[in-house]
Amino acid sequence: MSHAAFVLSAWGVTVAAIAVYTVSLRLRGQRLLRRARDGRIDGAGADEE
Amino acid sequence: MSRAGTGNPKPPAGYLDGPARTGSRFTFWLGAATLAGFAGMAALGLLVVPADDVQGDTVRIIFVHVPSALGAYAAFGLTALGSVMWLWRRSEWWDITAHAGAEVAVLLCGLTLVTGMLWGRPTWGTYWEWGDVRLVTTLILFLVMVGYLSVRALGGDAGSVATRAAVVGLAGAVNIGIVNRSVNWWANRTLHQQSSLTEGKLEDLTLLTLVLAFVVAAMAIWWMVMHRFRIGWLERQLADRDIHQAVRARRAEAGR
Repeated sequence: MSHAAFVLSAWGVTVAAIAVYTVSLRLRGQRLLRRARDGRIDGAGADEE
Repeated sequence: MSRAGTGNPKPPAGYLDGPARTGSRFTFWLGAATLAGFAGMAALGLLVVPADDVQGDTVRIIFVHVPSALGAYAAFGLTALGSVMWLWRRSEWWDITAHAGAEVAVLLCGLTLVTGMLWGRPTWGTYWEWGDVRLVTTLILFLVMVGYLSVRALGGDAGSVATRAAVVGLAGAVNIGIVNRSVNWWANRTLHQQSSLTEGKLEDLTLLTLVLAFVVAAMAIWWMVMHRFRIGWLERQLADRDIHQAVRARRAEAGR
């Protein structure tokens, strides 16, 4: 592999891992908020961002 | 902590306190600023900064590797702080903060290892060297962080889990100092260079880009920890609600 390939791999892995984690945070949050709404916790199901 | 075994069918005071969602106007703008900062950092780091005389283009890896490493220290440092506060004050807020910090720390420490390997191959001729103290101590730190999350996942009484995790978090945090100083303490047992930042070896533009990368990393960590904290808080609210609903149902059954 050329130096450029190592550089792009390092940046790519970093961006991909952080993107996957942030999306997973959003999905976990939305799932919890749905559960809260289903259980009628007042306020917990308020408008999401 | 108002958790299992209270037998109180009425939700305790403050039951609905805390975040009502995982995002907010602030985190929206924080996320937008992080993305904009990252775009600038990528343009500078990949296109503008000149290749290094010795390392060539691989020097561009430091813009993701070094902030990941320092970010992992900071996030696990937050876990250590949260652990101390839990043990001292039994504060649920700090316990959730400690958990949030650890999850982000695992992500960043994993990235530190992977990007370090991708830097090591073209620079040292190898992805990994078992005799290298910096590499091995970083791996141990990563495993301790994973261990911290594993302890939390074991389940059981929330207070006991928090206490066990806090002990692991504090013991693991000691390793941060060892990892950071390892290149100085065992200079003859590591391929890893000493800090380019503190030794003033970086060109102006490279240094500027690295500083920008630190700022972007700090904002990204802040965003992730805030969201993870709110998820933790919601999880506990829901767990409390489930317990209270179960107790109410049992009492209704008994009164029939």
